[in-house]
Amino acid sequence: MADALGHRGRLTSEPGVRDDDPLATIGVALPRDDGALGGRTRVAGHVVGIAGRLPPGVSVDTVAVALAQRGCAALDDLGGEWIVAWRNERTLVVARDALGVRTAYWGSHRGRVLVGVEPKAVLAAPGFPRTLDVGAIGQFLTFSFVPGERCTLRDLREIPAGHRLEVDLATGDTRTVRWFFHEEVEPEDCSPEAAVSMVRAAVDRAVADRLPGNDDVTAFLSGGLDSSVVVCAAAAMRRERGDSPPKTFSLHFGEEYPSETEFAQMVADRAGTDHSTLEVTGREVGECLREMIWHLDDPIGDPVTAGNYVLARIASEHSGWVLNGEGGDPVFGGPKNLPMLLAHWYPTLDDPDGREERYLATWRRAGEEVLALLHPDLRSEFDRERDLVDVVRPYLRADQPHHFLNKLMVANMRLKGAHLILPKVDRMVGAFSMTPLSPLFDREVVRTSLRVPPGTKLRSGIEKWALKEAYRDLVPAEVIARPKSGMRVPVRHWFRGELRAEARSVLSPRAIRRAGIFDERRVRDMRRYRTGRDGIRLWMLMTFELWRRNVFGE
Amino acid sequence: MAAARATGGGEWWVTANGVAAVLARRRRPLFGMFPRTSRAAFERWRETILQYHQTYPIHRLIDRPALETDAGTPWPEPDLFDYGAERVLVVDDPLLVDLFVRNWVHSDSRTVIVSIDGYPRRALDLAKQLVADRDDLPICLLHSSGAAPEDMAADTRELLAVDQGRPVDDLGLAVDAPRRVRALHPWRRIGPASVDCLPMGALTVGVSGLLAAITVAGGMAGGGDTSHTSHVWDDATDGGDGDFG
Repeated sequence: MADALGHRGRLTSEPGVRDDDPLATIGVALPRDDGALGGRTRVAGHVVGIAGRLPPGVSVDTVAVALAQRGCAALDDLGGEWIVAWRNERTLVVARDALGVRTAYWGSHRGRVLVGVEPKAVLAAPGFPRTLDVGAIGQFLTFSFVPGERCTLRDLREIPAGHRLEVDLATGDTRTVRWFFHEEVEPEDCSPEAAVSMVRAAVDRAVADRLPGNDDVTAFLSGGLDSSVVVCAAAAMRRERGDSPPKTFSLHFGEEYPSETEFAQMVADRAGTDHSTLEVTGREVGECLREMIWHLDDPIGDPVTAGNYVLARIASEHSGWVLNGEGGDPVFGGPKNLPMLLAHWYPTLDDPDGREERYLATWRRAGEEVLALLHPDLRSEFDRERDLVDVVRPYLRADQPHHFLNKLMVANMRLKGAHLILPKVDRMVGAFSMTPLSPLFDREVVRTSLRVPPGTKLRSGIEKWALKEAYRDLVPAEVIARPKSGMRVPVRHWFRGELRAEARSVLSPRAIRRAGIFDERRVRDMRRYRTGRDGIRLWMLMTFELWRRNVFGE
Repeated sequence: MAAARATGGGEWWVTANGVAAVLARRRRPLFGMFPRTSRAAFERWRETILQYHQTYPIHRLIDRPALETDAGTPWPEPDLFDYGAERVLVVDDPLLVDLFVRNWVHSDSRTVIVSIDGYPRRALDLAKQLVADRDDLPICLLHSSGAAPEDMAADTRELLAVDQGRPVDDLGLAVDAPRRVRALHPWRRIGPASVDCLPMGALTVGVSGLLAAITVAGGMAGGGDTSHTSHVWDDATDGGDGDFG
C-alpha cells in the first residue's frame, strides 16, 4: 500500500517487522543510496539507517560506530541534513537534523508506532484515525503552517527540528527530546570586518560541502540577495574545479506583474550560468494545484509553493540537485526583524501579551480573524492563548539568546524555517526526485550568524549587512543595494481571473457546509474580495480544503 | 456608527478627525438631514465626538498624544534600539504619531515617526542619532493640505539637526488635494484637510506604500529640494488594496 501511494516510506516499531532492515524505507526517495547520501548498517547490536546528506568524509558506518559508542550525544557533532534512525533490542530512536531540512512524522496506532518522512506514509496505515485538530487549524490560519509537534490531524505528530523521538519497544511508550540547541551561542566581540570574514568562510564552506562531485547541478535564482549569493559562490567554486556553473532558473508571473527577473539575469550574467526564465500563469498553477497539494502533503498555505513546484519540474530535466537561497532571511536578519524591533520603540506593547500578539500579527495571514473564519460549532475548540500566544512566548521571552535580534532569528528559524521553508522546498523538489541543497540553512552557518555581533547582521536599518558585505565581490552591486522583494505571487489577481472558477468550485457554499470547518458567510465575503489580504487567505483556505479532501478520501 | 465605520469595525485606531470625516463624507441624510459640510460644522462634530468619548469611551479613539513616557524600557534585552530603521517620518501633528504607531505603521514600514514639535522625545533622540549615523537615511514629511511644505522641510532639518541641504521627501497632502482626492471632496468647502481625515484603510495602505517606495537606493528626493509625491492620494477612497496578498 505504501508503494501504491507513492510516499517515501514508513518505519514501524512493531517487533519482527523488517527486523533485519527496519530502516530501509526511510531512504526510499533518495536520488542515490550510497554511503555519502544515506543508507543503513549494523554495528554492535545497533541497526542504523540514515536518509539524507552526510558531511563530506562521513559515512553511515562512522555514524553507526559513534552512536554505538556515545549514544545520542553523537548527534551533536553530526553535520548534514538527515533523518537518523537506530534501534537496538530495547529502543527505537528517530532523530531529525538540527534545523529541520528533512522532515519526520509519527503516530501511535493499534499498539504500533509508525514513523515516516511524509505524513501520508503514516496515514497509509489501515485505519489510522483522521480527526482534525481545531487548535492546529487556528495555527494554520495564523502562520500558514502548523508549528511544533502538532499536525492538523490530532493523532499525527511531527518530530520538530533538532529533536528525536524515543520509543520503548517493550512498552510502546514514546517521548520527544530536544537534542540541538543554538540559543546558547552568544555573540563574540569582534570587528565588523572580522564578522564579514566569518560569514564568508562559513557560507563558502556550506556551499562547497553541497556541490555534487561530478554531477550537473541546478539552482533556483530569484534575483534576490540570498539565491544570488549561493549561485555566485557555487559558480565560482565549480569553475575553479573545472566544472560548469549551475544551470539557473527563475520565473515571473506575466509582464503585467512586478518581477525580479532583470536582477536574476544580471546575476546569471555575472556568474556565467546558463539561465532560463519561465513564465507561470494562474491557469498553469490551477492545472497542477491538486497534484501539488498531494505532494505537499501537510497543509502549507504559502503560494510560493507553486513557484517552487513549477521550477522544480523544469529543473529536474537537467539534474537531480538544486541549490537555493532558502534561509537567508531567518538566518541573517531578514525582513521579519525590524518590524518587531521597532514595535518596542514606543510604549505600545503594554498588554501582558503585547509582544506575542505583535509577533503573531507580523505573519500577516489570518491570525486576527481565526474565530470569525472558523465554523461557529468549532470556535469553542480554539483557544488563542493556548494555541497561539503560548506557542510563540517561549521564543520571545527566553533568557537565551540574550539579544532580541537573535531571539527573533531563533524563533524564525524554528517556526517558519523548520515548518514552512524547508518542508516546502523538500516536498516540492522531492516531487520530481530532486534533492534540495540549502547552504544558508547549514548548521555551522547558523552558529556563525549567532556568533557575529548582532549589529553586523542588521546595521543602521540595512538587513543582512554582513552577508551583503561578504559577497560584495561576487554579487552585482544592484542586487546588494536593492530592497527585499520576495516572490510576489499575484494570487489576488488570479482569484479574480484565472483561479476564480477553481475557488468558486473548491470553496462553494455547499462544499464549505459539507466540510463544516469554516464559516460559510466569511468565506463567501472573501470570495467577493472585500479586503486587500483576501488573496492570501483564499489561497490558504483553498489549499487546506484540497488537502482535507485528499486526507479524507473525498 | 460613524466611529465603527471609521475604525473599520474595530480594526484601526482613529482620531476625532477621522470619525468626523466619516460624517462629512456621508451622502445619505443623518437624522433626517443632510449634514452641512462647513468648517464650523466639522469642528462642532469633532468636539461632540470628543465630549461623547469622555462619558462613553469610543473603542480605539485617540484623543490625546499618549506615547511620551519617562519610564525606561520594560524589556530585558539590551539591543532593542541598536539596529536603526529604514527612514524617518515627520508629521505635522503629534496626534498623528499616536495614530500611526497605534496602527503599527511604524513597525510595518520600519520607520521612526516623530512630530514636528519633537514628540515623542525618546523617538526623536533615536531619529537624530539615525540621521547622524547615516547621511543617506531618507527623511519624509507628512502634512495637511494647508501646510507649507518648504517651511516644514526646513523645520524638519532643524529638528533632526541635519544640514539644510539634506533631501527631504514630501508625502503630504498638496494644497489642491481636496479637489483631486475623492475621499477629501467635502474639504473643498470645509477647508484644509488634515491627513487623518482620509479613510483609515486608504491612509495606512497609502502611507505604508509611499514609505516602502522611499529607500536609500530608490529615494524620491532630488538635489536638496523637497520633492512632492502626494498624487498617490488621488485614488484614495473608502477602501485600500495595496499588495499582492
